[in-house]
Amino acid sequence: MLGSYDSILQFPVGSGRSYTESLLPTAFGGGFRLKALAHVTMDRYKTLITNKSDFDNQVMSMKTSTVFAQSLLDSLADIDCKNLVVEREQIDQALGDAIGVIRA
Amino acid sequence: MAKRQKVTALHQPENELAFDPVDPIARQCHPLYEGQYQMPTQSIANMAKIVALWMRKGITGGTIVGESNYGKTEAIKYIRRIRRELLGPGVAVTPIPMTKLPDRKRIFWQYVASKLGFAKMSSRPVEIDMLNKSIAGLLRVCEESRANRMVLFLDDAQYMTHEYYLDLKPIYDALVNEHGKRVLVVSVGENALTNFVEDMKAEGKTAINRFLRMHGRFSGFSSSDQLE
Repeated sequence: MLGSYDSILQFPVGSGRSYTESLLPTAFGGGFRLKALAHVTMDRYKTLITNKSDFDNQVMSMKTSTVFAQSLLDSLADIDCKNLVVEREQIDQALGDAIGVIRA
Repeated sequence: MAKRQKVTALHQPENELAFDPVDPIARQCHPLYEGQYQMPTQSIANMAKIVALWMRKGITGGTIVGESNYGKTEAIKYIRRIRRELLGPGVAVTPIPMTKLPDRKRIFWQYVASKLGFAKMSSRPVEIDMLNKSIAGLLRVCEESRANRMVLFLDDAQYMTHEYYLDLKPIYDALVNEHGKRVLVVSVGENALTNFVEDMKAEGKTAINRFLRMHGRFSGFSSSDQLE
């Protein structure tokens, strides 16, 4: 799913430039790919929603994942650089945004 | 000095007009921020395959159940968009959201008719008028798609009741028996829909079996591999 942002979804349409590349051109050129964050994101999601009875801690919804991707790319766009390193706190923040949207 | 700067600027139109993907204004126009993009996921692809299979086998109706916010409505939009590639020519795909269901039978038909573009009531008895308009609305959808087959999605079908499915029967019968259409009714909803189906079985209410013959699941991302 996250890999779609790196390849399938393009902006502008037909430009050959993926969503990740369009928002993080320098990092993308340096090898950054959103899909590489899938494992740590799922781990953090399961940790963050533990003991929250209104969430299924085994499954992430479509809406959670799309809001997460938007929030993370948005925050990273401001610090786009060739050797972009995503910290755990940034993933937690984006997941927090996504969980907050679902709750609202 | 000021004049020189102006000339310099005029000699750089490409730079001024070039599309910058990270420009803060352009970023706000990005489909990611407007929520106007469709994410191709395995769950959506699976639901499309289920619907295609049911249609191919001549199934009259089934349920697809998944948690809230899993993307079921997006899947319906996707199936509607790729209906020709998925189901072949001559198939109409119509979603009707069941989120604000009325509490009386005649209003059910009025609701369905209104969703199909009929707002005014004639002087004929309201029930029959709305039933006929519901049928006419679905026939019009078929005509617009030059279709003799139809997939009718009932979105948020967890709000459907036994009575509403009974109300759906004369619409279905008219389309199939009087107008020769082949109709697949797909009820898409949350887990309460599964409970409803089980209750219907337990209570022996078989009159609406045709709409609840098959069952599919719509899942979220349960592993990092799926998320990747």
